[in-house]
Amino acid sequence: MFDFITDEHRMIQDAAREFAQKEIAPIAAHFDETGDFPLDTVRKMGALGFMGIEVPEIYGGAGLDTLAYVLALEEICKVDASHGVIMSVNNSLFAHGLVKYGTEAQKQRYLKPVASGQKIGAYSLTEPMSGSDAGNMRTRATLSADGSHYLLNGRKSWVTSAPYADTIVVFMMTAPEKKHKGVTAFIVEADQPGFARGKKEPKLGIRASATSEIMFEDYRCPVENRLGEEGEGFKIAMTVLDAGRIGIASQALGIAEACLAASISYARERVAFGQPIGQFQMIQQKLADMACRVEASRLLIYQAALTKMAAAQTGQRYTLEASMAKLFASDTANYCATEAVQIHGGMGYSQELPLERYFRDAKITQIYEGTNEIQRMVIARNLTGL
Amino acid sequence: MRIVVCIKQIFDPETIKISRSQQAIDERGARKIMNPPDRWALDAALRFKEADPSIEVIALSLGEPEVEDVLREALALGCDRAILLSDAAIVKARTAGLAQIIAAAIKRLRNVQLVMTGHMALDTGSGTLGPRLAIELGDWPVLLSVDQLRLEHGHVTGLQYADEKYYDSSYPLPAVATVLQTPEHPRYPHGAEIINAYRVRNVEIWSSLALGVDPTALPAPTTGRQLRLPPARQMGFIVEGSPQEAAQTLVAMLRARRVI
Repeated sequence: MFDFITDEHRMIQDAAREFAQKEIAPIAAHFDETGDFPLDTVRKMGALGFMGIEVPEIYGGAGLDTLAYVLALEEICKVDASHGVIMSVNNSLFAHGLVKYGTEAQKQRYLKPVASGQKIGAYSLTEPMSGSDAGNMRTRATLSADGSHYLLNGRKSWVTSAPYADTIVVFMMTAPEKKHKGVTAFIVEADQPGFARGKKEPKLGIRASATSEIMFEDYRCPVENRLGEEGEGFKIAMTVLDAGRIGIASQALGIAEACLAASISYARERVAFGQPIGQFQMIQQKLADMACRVEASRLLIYQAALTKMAAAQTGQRYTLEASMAKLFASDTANYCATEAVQIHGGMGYSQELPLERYFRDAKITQIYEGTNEIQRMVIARNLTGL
Repeated sequence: MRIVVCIKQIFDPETIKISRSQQAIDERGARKIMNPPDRWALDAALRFKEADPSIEVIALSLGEPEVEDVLREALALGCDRAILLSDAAIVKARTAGLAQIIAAAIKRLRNVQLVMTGHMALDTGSGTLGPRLAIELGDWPVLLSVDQLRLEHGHVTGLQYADEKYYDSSYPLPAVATVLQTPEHPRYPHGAEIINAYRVRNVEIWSSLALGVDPTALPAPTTGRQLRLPPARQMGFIVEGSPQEAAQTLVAMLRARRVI
């Protein structure tokens, strides 16, 4: 039916499905409970090219396209959204920015090890006092008198993968008076003096993906580690988020599909009042609505992925398509998780089944990489031009 | 030296539906995959290649053009060549005829020292391809259901599984080995190799004409008379009483049924 999905795409999807079921499924509950970072499986994913799916082979990636990326990510997230977000941040937020805006030297030095999964990448835009409102950030980067380096100062928060990241793309103000036009992007090495990580955030869901604050105190960032031009940071941040949102949409779709699959099988097997509960209309309604929303999310994600692939040729943005996919798929994940727990009743609430984990993991997809309120604003602005 | 790995494409057992009322397998919408035991055989062959890069691993399959997919997967996993035996006559071949065709391809390849395949195909569950090939190739020795395969001093060595025991076995090459599925999962393809498998690499297609096989002279295929599901299982029961009494009752029952 979808002839844009080729045999190549199916093979990477199969590989991701099998990897997720064999390698991640057995450990997902454990890492959710302990909140430990699943470094072993993340490295294995790197060895298969999953940590840099769209990165050209010469920079350590798999050289596949956006469709391959969303299909693979969806399969990983059907099993565990934590592994999914680690993969998504590495691919869309870190690697995509470097592929698009990095110099050859930056790609060789920083992209290669992250795309091949030997090192972990992160992306840091949010601050304690500014999230969606990126033009209001407090962190400062000042160019030295001799023009050789920037001094980075301030505090960033909610940095996914930060506790284990080796390289981070960080956005800071170089010209605060210019608001968001005074933001510049930098590539930061986590083992250099002047950089510190805060404590790991305890979280509701995606607990195996480590999140923390990062702090800068006179961190010397050489000029050659500036990503793009001075003042280009906000544009880079938003462009990269467009790609990121397609990833989060795929993550949400994976969670929703896991909820739907579990619910279908439970509805067939669980007998109440002498018949499988799937024969009750109230359960049927839930299943039908879940399935429709899952399929609609999938189509929006394919549309966004195809638009992004076309944009690689035309240079056009795909903000609208990415926002729509992210908004709808994340709402679907939450809808499906809520209904799946409900269909499972007490078993859904129990930690014996992964339903409660899906339920906790789903929530973040409506919050990060642009809250759903921001997505609606972005969509409406695109529609009205106001 | 060349190793040939025979690979079968089957329906993914997790995606087929079994209809009790129809007494039939519903394959609509089912996914096709590489027969898992064959994947383990391929993995073992690729490990030989890693240890000795002069070894050439050739994946071989037979059937409709769509079977090419599993051969592309074999290429992505690291095979040197992939060959699909396919034409109108070949796709109809079963069991004995199938072994004759594959053996002809192996003979045509020359210098094949080891032929590997899974210990059985999960769809038919028969596991006869290995022994049949050994006969067709001129009574080559065959290691059946083997784990921990090694190549040393012109011999293939491994643990053969039979009657719930492992037997340490070794045979001189050339030989046939059917490989067991073990808990250790075989390798996954790298994303970049998947692209290469489709865009750069090639699956060779060989016809019966190229193999010098006369399709009309092949043994008649085995045909299925009827497909039916096993009877529904009977309920078990619990032997009541104290452990001693229960044990005595159980022994008496087993004796009465001549189980012990």
